[in-house]
Amino acid sequence: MKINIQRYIYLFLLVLLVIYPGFAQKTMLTGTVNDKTGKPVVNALVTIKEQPGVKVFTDTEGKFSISGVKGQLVEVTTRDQRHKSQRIETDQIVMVMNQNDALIQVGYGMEQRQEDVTSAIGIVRAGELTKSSARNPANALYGQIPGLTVLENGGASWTANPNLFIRGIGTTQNTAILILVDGFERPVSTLSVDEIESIEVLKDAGALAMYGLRGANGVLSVTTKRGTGKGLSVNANYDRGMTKAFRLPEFLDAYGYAKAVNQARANDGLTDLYSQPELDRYQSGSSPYLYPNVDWKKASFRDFGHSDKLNLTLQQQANAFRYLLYLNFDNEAGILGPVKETGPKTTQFNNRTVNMRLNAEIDITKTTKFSVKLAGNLGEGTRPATGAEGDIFSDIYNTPAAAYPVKTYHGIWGGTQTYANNNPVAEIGGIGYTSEGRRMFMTDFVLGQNLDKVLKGLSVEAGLSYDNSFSYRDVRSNGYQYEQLTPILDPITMAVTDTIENTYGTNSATTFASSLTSYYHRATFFGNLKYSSSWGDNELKSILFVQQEEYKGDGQFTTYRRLLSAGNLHYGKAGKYFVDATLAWGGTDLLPAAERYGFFPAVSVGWKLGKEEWLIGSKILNDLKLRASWGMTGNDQVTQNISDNRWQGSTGYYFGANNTGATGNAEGRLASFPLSFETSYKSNIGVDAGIFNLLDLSLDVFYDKREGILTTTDGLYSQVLGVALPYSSTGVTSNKGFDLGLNLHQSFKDFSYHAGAQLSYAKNKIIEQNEVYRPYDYLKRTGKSIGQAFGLQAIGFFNDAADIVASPKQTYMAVSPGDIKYKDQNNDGFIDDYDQVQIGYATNTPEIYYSGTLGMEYKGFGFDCVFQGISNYTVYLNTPSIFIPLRSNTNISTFSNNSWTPATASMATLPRLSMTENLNNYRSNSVWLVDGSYLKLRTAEIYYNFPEQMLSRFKLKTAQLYVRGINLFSIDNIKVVDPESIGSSYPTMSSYNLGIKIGF
Amino acid sequence: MKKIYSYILKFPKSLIAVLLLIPLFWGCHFLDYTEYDSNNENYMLSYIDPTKSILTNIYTYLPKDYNSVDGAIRSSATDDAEHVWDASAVQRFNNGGWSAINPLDDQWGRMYTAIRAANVFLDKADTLTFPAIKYAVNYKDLMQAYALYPYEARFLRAMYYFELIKRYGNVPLDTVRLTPELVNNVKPNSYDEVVKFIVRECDSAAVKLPVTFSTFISKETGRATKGAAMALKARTLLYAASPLHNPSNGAAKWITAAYASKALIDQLGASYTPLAAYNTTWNNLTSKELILETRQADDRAFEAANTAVGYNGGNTGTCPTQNLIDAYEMKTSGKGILEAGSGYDPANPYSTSGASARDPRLDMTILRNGSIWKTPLVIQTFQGGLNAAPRPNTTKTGYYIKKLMVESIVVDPSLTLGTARHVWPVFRYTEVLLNYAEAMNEVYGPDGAGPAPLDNLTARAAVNIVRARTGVAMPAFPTGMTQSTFRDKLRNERRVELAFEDHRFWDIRRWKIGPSTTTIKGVDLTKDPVTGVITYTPKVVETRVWDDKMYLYPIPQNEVFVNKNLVQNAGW
Repeated sequence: MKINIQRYIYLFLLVLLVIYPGFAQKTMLTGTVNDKTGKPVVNALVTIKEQPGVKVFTDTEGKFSISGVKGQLVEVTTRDQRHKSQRIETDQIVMVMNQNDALIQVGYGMEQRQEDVTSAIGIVRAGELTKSSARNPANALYGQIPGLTVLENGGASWTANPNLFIRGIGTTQNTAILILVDGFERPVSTLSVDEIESIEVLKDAGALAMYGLRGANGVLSVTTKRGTGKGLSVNANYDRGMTKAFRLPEFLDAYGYAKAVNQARANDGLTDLYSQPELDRYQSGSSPYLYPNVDWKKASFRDFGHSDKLNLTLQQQANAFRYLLYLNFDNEAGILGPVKETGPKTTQFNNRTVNMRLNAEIDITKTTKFSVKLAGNLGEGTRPATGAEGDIFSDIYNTPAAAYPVKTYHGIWGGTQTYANNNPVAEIGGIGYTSEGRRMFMTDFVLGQNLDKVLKGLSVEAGLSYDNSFSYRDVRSNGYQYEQLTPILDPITMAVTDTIENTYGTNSATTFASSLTSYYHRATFFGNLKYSSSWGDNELKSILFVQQEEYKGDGQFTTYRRLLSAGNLHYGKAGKYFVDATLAWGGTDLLPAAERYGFFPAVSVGWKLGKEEWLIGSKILNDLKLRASWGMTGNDQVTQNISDNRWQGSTGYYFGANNTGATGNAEGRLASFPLSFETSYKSNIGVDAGIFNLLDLSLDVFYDKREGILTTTDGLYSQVLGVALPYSSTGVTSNKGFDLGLNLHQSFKDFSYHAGAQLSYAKNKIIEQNEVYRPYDYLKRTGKSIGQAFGLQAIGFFNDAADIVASPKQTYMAVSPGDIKYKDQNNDGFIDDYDQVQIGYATNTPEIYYSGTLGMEYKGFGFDCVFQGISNYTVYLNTPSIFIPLRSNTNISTFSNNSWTPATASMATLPRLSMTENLNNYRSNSVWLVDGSYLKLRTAEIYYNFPEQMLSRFKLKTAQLYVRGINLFSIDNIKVVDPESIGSSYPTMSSYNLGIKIGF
Repeated sequence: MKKIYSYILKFPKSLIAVLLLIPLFWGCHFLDYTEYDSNNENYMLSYIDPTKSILTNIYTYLPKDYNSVDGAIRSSATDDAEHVWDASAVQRFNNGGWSAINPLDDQWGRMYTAIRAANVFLDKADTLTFPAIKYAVNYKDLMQAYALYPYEARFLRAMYYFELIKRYGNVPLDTVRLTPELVNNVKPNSYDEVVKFIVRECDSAAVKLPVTFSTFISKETGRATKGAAMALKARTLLYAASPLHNPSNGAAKWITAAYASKALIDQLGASYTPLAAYNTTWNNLTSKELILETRQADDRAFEAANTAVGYNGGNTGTCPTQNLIDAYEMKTSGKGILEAGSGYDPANPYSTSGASARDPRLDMTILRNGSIWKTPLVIQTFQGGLNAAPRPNTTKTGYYIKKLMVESIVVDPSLTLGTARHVWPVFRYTEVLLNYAEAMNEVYGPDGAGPAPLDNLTARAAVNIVRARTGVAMPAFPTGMTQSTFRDKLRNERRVELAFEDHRFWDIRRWKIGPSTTTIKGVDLTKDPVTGVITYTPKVVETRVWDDKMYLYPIPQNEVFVNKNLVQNAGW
């Protein structure tokens, strides 16, 4: 056997020698590297494949000279990771770098030129990302990559994480996508925008099969910058931003609130709470302590917050050493007004982050490369010492203007027993602060060895990565005293005759509590073997790798261990025909031993028609490529420990003369079977085309089928079993749609412009989920989208008692005129949960996600903007005070202006006001389930690039000044708040930034 | 090849080290990671405490009716009471809004959960020796208690099967732990087969279980006793002999039922008598006549739900009906209020003295206008009174519930709230006497004697023991009644004595008297502002829907859907 292998290797080498063009005289080669528009590509690395270690850089005119031999392969790598190779034929060479020459990170250290890629991969590069001033890079991704859905969430910018979906949702279980930073699973939020070189989104099986048990929901792969270019280059960037709440709900003033309360009480059959003279006092503001009118938003917020951002990047490529040193400092201050500063701490929403990174590569020998990446993310934020971050906003929104004054005439905080301990101004400035900090350290070490001497084209790599992260919380808080003023009224004149003054609470001493809020580490080892070869017009690249990872969080059942090995073979012929074959094999400790391993094959092919002779020279189609892929990938994110039948404590019982408690134990859920990971079968057909040398088009159509989804079996088995039913991995879903990207760009002498449009559509369907028995087809969730909204269909409001009697009986509570009248879908005479129907679309992700970009530049002046929108999306408006008024002593916003009253019955759009929990009205129904689509202007920017002649005097290479706005407006249906953040949380922000970038 | 090896030797040493490390970590055992956890069956059965806790869990399913149907007591679905809240699901019993897809009081799954818990216990936990504690000083005591566990479990399982058949009729009877593969193919057993099973299990348990646990070292009263097993058998056989399940009115079933009750009376009667004051029989775990009770943690939920509106924190809840009030006979004459010579005074309907006095149990069960409740407050149900219209959500019928309530409980939210012990009477000795009287009358008439041991207690004598109880002392049933008039009067007696103890709902069904319970009556009281005289105006509060399908519950639709062997009850 050994001899055979040896023989084959020699034979193989012989073949290589035969097809090798042979040795020839070295010549001095000069060349030029230009981009598509004819501009020189500066500081690009030029190497010769056959002579490792020989490297030169292009100069300011894009020219280089290198000594080589005819027939050898010259390789050019630009600083923005585009790559092209060309055979030496004469001693003059001109290379034109296209967008398609970009190097794409296809995973596990493999790179391919975009032109050769056979799978569906979307990419966004530093240039586009840095047009955002976002703190979290995920917030720089709106509308940037076809197929990537990014939905903003409320929350302060340093705690908010947008929801990310790749091609929508394909499972009823865990939909989290896999996020990799430099090949290892890491949260993208711990990076800052400027340390990122590119972000790739892997969408089809051709790209995802490699990820084995983790690929099914898609992969977002972030690559950080590395040292490139000749000599030391320094880039610095300062950005100052003013932030402003994108939209704040408008609440009624004290008079409006008091009138609404009277109306609600009248609707509830109760007498007025406020008499006319009292209403007048609220309206006139004549008695600000007893009849206050406090605009709590105004009292609690200031007009603007601000942010400062400083980035410094040093990079250098010396002969055997390349490095990038990155330093980022962010300081953000929120929009609270009456904050209190305590030494260095403030109760303002405040955050400081420092990001540091060293990415270094050392050529230990000519063939041995060691690379190390060290990065740290340190952050510390403060906020008022309320429980959760959003609590202060609930306080501000839920407190009516008429509730109490900020402070009483005694200088004591206002308050009442009804609104106990939630005076917003007191909560902001009077109760101390919470400070929360994060520490994260990321390390990668990779050692690579070129084994050309063993076998031409062979190399080996091994590495490890270790991340450690923890966050903590310190709370320094105190209680406060508040006073309730209750006027005593003359029963006839309603004049104030006396005031009862009650104080509650105490100004207690400050207490301190500290806790560790989260901890984890993740360790990954990997090794790979790569082999690449080319002969004639054939090109072969292959990789075989193994990886093992462990994640451990705090607490029980937070450990995840995984193994993965995979191989990929990429073959290209004549630069026209490409085939990729992938086989991955992975295992996870989340599943029992017999079910934990899976194989995931994939095949993808590409045909570059643009290089076929009959198309070369076409005036219409200057480029065309067809791609197709099919394959499998998995998702192992299932609940831990469901393969065992565990016992659990149950309600106890009582024995003995003293009714002494005794503990009970009951059999838990039966062992789940069959159990497996989810398997996604993904098919994709794509076309990339260049039209009229003007327009780039990329279209992918996909169909995914997901099997083995964990579902309950409650609908399958009889309850005679008498125990919680097991789960089984038998759910099935499908997901289909398309991603379309269009880019138009044209350059003239001093003027260039670009315009782009992206449109993604993904529609999923539940095919099987062991649904519980539902007596009517319209109730069935199977066959509908995952997360499809269901609710009762409103058909108006009850006019009067006779209307109620004549209508089907509504069973949620005794209804009154003005309550929502529902359609009796099953005509059984009762309105109950069996009358729910699907309303609108899913509430978890939109089916349509689109964006448009526009930019132009004239003599250094430029303009850029990004619009982004969603459609086919449903939102449930259930936030107290903002959408659901008055219930349980909450507030009322202008949203409720069109509520039902006897007088406005015919045009009302909302049910009657009520002071109580109205179980009939406040539930999932067509009144509160509304269209959630929007179109937003995400960024708009004006910049000026200073001309080189001017800069050279200051020894600067580049300098740019910019003004930009982020989240400037939205066209939508919801209007009173940001359609992407309807809850009581830190509001989403608009931001206006001024910045300067310099490079030398 | 040599060349290759020599080349490898020239590798940087660190690289070799890393390459060697990979296979070291690379291994499938890496995934055999578990976080140790003792919550498995083997552990549970290794020690006596967890084993005992498995049995304890089975007790938690014992029935009780403190607001068991969506905040209402089940009596609100009988002609004894009306629930004040229209939106409570209990109203669906009354308006016909229940069905197989909209089941009410859905105990199907819950009872089978309890039954499986017992099956699992009896499968493995009934023959353990716990060697680990063999040398503990109290090993003998522990094992003495443990020896009874299987019989307690068997009694409880029988109890839960009774809870199932009284609702659903024919149900699957399984005594082994089922698997998902088997469960959709189980076949229903007939009502009578399940009755037979319950009787057999009760007989076995009655032999082993003690009369009381108060003599045990642990003194764990509240466990299933011999009396409980015999009482369950007696009730099960009485239900089985009743018209719903004995359409031919076969005497044999009644005789068996009489025997079962008599056996308890003869063997254990002395333990449960003499009968103490009526109002000490609920929420009192030391009540002498209590055979089995359902226990719970001290709370105030029942009082919070049923205190009259007008009291701070009151929610009204249960409104006893005029139908029930009318069932209380006259204290002096012993006659029903409509009988000639009863002494009933419509102008003084709640009289407590003289010839117009009502059965004393009325005032122990009902809060009516003038009842003292939470001294010094007095219930006012006349128009404009403290506890009446126009105040919203006051009683619909003119009455509030008193029985089962603990008067001292504070529900006023502005005061310090308290809790009290609530003990639900599952079996009381008086029920056994009434069961006996009912069975005897159906076979031998009011005064007939049967063969020994039925020869020394007639139906009339049995019911008169109840009538004569301390503080009630109602006149005895007269001699010379026909079987039919005795039956009616006995049913009335049962309704009064066991009011709100969750009997009426089931009695209506087994007697098949549903259609006669649909007119729900109440009373309006108006008080003359000058004279203070109260006028009583009877009214119909509600006319309910009755359909004979309601004699049994519908089986939840999904059950019939997944198990084709199950047969939906007639009419559903």
